[in-house]
This record gives sequence, structure tokens and C-alpha cells, in this order.
Amino acid sequence: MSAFDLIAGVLLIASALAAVTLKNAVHAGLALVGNFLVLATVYFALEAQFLGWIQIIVYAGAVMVLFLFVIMLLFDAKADVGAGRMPWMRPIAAALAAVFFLALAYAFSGVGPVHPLAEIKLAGGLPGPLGQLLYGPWLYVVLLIAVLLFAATVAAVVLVQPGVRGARKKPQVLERERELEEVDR
Amino acid sequence: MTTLWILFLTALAATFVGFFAPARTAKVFTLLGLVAALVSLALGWGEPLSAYGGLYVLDPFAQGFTLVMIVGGLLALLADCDYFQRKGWPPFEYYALVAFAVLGGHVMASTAHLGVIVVGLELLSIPLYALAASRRDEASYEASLKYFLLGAVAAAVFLYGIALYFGATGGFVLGAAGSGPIYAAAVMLLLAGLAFKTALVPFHWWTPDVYQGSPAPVTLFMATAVKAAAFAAFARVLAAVGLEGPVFYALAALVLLTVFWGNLTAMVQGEAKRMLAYSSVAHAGYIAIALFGPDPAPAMGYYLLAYALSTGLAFAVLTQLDDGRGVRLGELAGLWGRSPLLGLGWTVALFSLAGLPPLVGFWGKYLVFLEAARGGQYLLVALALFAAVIAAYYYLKLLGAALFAKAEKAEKIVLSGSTPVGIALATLLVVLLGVLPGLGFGLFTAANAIVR
Repeated sequence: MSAFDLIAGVLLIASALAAVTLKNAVHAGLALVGNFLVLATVYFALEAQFLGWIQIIVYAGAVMVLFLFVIMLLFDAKADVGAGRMPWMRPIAAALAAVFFLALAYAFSGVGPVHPLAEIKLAGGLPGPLGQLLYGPWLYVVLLIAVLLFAATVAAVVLVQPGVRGARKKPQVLERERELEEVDR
Repeated sequence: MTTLWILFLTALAATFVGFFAPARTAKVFTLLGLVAALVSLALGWGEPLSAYGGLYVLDPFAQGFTLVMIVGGLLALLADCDYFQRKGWPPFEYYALVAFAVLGGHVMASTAHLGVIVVGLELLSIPLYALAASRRDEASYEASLKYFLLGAVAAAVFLYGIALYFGATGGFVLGAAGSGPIYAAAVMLLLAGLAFKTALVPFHWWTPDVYQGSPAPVTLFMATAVKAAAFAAFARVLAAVGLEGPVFYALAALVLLTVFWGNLTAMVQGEAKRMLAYSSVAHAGYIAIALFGPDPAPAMGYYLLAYALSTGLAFAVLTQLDDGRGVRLGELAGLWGRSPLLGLGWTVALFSLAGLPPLVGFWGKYLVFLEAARGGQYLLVALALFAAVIAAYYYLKLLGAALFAKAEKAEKIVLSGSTPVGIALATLLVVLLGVLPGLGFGLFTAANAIVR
């Protein structure tokens, strides 16, 4: 284990813990950005350079910025408003996380890599050799992901567009209707 | 290949045609596309087909499950006629989202590659998250949010399972030889992710809330097409892994928990959609029991078809009664008098779901239990049969609420548009396939070998 491994591991765990425990959602989001940046350096070290850059561009650059937009749009930075309905859940959640971690740690114990890394020509994980794979054996998956992104765009647009398309009702009318519904129940 | 392309072009056409034409036209396009996909499926029936370097495998197994998904999609579109108009919905995108979900299910069913399965799973799920919220009220939003959060977690579990599977076997294609604790962990994570989609207890917690909160036609689609897609992937993973040791006991525990929890909790519900949600949980248990047999695919496929027709019919009837707040049992009263077609459909659907002969649901149950018995799991079959008898209680309660209770409302229900066609067709098929079971089962006999 080199010094890089040690520092990267500590930083990864610390930033992930910060992301789940910090009370301020903006702080948590920024901790997650830090986590993604460290993760990208780990990818570089594992000879997955293109993936590392994509990780920075898409996750840290696009996804997390959308997250921060949403948090700030909704003024939701203070995350623990109204929390504490079930305080006894916290230790249980922590215990379950520990059990899951221990089970996986056991699964990984004594397992070496299936293919020794030195045998495979990773070529630094640059886009050149990666493109041969993406537009070769993985072409079907790439096409499907294009369809998936299109469907997700349609779904996201449908999800946020206002529902009623007819004439808009006045607030007083809506209020009266709601009262009538209450009486109905 | 043609089926895949037809489904894709249908979704694309339904997305864009709505820009130029009213929503009704988009609906007609989607219906025609689904029928065309059905025809192309029928033309190549029984002949395995493989494309894209083996990533797309349309074997008889995939054909059978795709048939069920298309039937579910057709029923959902036929039955929704007035439901959304009452609320000022749907925009034309509704039909495109249904078509994309069917495409996703088809992709998921017709591959043995884990990477393709997960993309298909997302292509199936993401439109459904939007569809679940499409009624624009609190119950609908809550259903969508729960479905999305739990679905995302399940997808993460499944993805982590894929990563471990790659770590243990060095490949993404199901059926690679593997062993050791890391392989076992991978299999457990894969099965847990898929058990969520198939709604097996204890991964079913989203089902009642989502089925109740979602708009009724969307619930119809979830209960039929989504279940078929999820079980297709579930069966492929299990067939590749083999049913030995811990996997065997895990599946047996899942099945027993599912049939008993689903049926017992359904008994105490007071709302028809929620009752049918728990009933669908229980039915997932019956489908999974076929996996203990030596040759589960035909029985599973036939059961899914039987279940899709019966539960699709039941939800199609509820679609006509639901005003967005669910259907209390009292609201079912006098159904026969208010609309004889709905009354007939409701009666036939419930008898079929309860598994009474001579309806299609009986043959479905008979085949899955026979399959498990051929695998030598007599105790499991006996317990599941016992649970099926418990289930008769709440099906008869639902039926009694419609038949014998005094009507709260007396006005007639007028069915419009394509709704009577859908309900009549489903009723006819449930009865016809019940009287002539060979007609339906003949479709699935070719699916005996699941491609690994």
C-alpha cells in the first residue's frame, strides 16, 4: 500500500461520511463533489483515465450542479427540519450498514483478481481503445443508452410540466372545491 | 429484430406525433404500434433469433414474456379512456412513456447480458416514475416518490451485484462459472435487486402504496407488464446461477413469505386497489414457485399471461370506478346493475384470480404447482395451496361487495371509447383460454430451455 492509496482511501471515506452526516444539504453536496474528485484520481491511478475525466465532467460538473440547483431552488439547505420522529432508527440504520459492510468484507477476504492486471493491455484507459469497445461489442448497449436518455428526457419534462391544461380556475373556486371534497369524505 | 425496432419506432412516433395532432392520435399510433409488434412477434414465433453479437436474444422464452408485456400495455391503453379526461389529462406523452416502458421490458427480457438488463430495467422504470405521478395530486406524488427512491436503491443494489459478478467471473454474461463468497454475494445482490421489481416479500414494501396512489391505468400496467419483465430477468439469473445451497433456501423463504404475507394482509384491506396490490404480491409468490421445477419457463410464461389477463381485467374495471381517491368496497355495490359489462368482467376476473376452474387463472396455478411438484417440493406446494385457499376469502369479499351489497349510487356507468372493447376482449380471453387451456399453453411450450 503506497502513500497515495492511504491518503485517497482516507479522503474517500471521510468525504462520504461527511456527505451522509452533515446537517446542511449544501455542505453535504459539496462533500460529495469532493468525493467524486478523489474517486476520479483513484480511477487515474487504476489506468482508467477517460472514465476519471468523465467522472469529473458528468458527476462533479453536471449532476452535482443540478443537485445544488435543486437544493438552493427549494431553500432546502437545512435538512433536519421536522426530523426526529423515530430517533431509535439511527442506531439501527448504523448497525445495518455495519452488517452490510462486514458481509462484503468477508466476501472480499482472500479473493485475488481473476485476471492479473499486468496481463491486460489497459493502455491507460484512454478514449481510443475504449471507443473500439463501445462501438464494437458494446454497440447495442450504447444505442440502448441513447434511447434511455431520450426516454428520461421525455419523462423529466412530463414530470415537471403543470398538469391541468384547460382554463385555469380562480383560487377562490379551488378553495370552495376543496371544501366540498372535505365534506364528501 | 423487427419487434425491437417496431417497439422503438412506436415510442418515437408517439413522442413526436403529439406535437402536430391531438393526444387521441398519439394513442391510436401507440395502439397500432403495439399490435404491429404483436404481429411481428407472431410471425417469428418459436424461432430463436440473436443479434448485436448475442446481446439481443429473442428466444421463445423472451417471446412469451414480451407477449405478456404487450398484452399488458394494450389493456392499459384500451382501459384508460375516460380516466384522465376527467382530470384534464393525459398529455400525449403518456402514451409515449407507456411505449418506452414496454420497449424497456422487451430489452430486459431478451438478453442474458447483465449490462443490457440494467439498461432495460432503467428504460422500464424511469417512464413509470413519471407515469405514477401523472394524476397530479398528493397520493400520486407520494406513490411516485416512494417508487423512485426505492427503485433507485434497488437499481444500485443490482448494479453493485453486477460489479461483484464481474469481479468473480470476469464477464457480464449470465451463466459464467463462479464460486466462492464473492460470487455468492454477487448473486444475492442481483436477486435482491430483481426481487424488488417482482415485489417478493420482504422487498414488496413499495407495492401497496404505489399501486394505490398511482392512477388506475398505470397500476394496471405495473401489475402486468412490469411484473412479466422483472420475472423474465429473475428467471434468467436463477437459471444461470442454479438452485443450490443458500440460493435454494433464500428462494423458498421468499416464496413462503410472499404467499402468506400477501394473502393475509390483503384480507384486512378496505380499498379495492390496495387489496389487489397485496393480491399481486401473493401472485408473485405463485409465479416464483415454478422456479423450483426442472423446466419452469413454460409454466411461468403461461401463469404470467393468465395473471396479466385476469388482473388487467380487474384493474380495467376499477379504472372506470376510480375518481382518484381509490375505490372503497362500498363503492363497488350494485356493479351489475350499474353496468352489466363491468359486473361480468369483475366477476370473471376475480374467479380467475382466485384460481377457480374453468377460467384461465386455474390453469396457471395448476401449471406452476405441477412444475414445483415435478421438482419434488411437495411441502412448498402444499403451503402455497393453503395460502391460495386463504386468498379465496378476499376475492369473494370483493365479489360480494359488488354483487350482494345495496347500491350507494344508482346511476348507470356509461363506458366510452375503447374501454368496452378492452374489457370485453379481456373477459372473452379469460373464459376462452380457461375452456381451451391448450390454446394458450401451446404458445409457451417452446420456451422450455432458457438461454444462458
